[in-house]
Amino acid sequence: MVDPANHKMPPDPSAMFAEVESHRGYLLRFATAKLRDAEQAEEVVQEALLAALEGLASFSGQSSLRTWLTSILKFKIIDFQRRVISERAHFASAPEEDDSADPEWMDRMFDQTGHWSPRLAEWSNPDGALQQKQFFETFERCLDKLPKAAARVFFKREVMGIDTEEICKEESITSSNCWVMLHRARLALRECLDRNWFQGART
Amino acid sequence: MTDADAELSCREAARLMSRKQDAQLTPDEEGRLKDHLYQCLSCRRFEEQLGFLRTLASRYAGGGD
Repeated sequence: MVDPANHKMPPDPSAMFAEVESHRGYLLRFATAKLRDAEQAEEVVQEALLAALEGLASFSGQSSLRTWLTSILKFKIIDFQRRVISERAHFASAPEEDDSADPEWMDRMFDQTGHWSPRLAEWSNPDGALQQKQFFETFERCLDKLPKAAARVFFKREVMGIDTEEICKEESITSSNCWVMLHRARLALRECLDRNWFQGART
Repeated sequence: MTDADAELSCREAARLMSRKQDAQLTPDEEGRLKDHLYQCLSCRRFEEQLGFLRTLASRYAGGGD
């Protein structure tokens, strides 16, 4: 992570490489959300990281390193999509999830009268968690446990900040379908963070 | 309206709170949610935690800085 107070890149090349490399996981998730394909995502991230290392001198430190890398990745994704579209016909993929009924894990969060079961406990010192690298690693593991489509929609909405209308278009789903997926993703993430981080902080 | 006056369950309240992050609720939904939150501690916590999830995701996009 780049320290905002001292945003100069480390001078020696292997340290620079390690610094850039430490954002690979985030960039892969970003690319996978856009491209839906893990292999294609690997490919564009590789291109973006190479471009970043070549152009490292142009990194001004005005934004965080991650923000800068993300902007390079966005261009690479657009490039890639253009290539793919010109190379072969584009087929719409089938919906991955059935949203007609709530999944069984959701039934376990509520009792038969629709009350939380168990009741929700307070999260102590969430702002402190945001200062810890391990907390973000826990968050990544929780993201990876979500169903693929839900993870993609959540990532687009909350990490990329795209509005739901745009997401619906990209995903070819209705807005109510989109809300259902977002809601499930949030419930699952909340539970995962509670179980894997905040519960430990309570005991 | 058959159940406009019926009290929300936590399950329904959670759904509304989530949707509220992405779209505007109807005045009726707003009113029922407000009534529910007033008397439900777990749902007030859920509301806080939803807000935190949003902060967390945007921090994550910035590299945790």
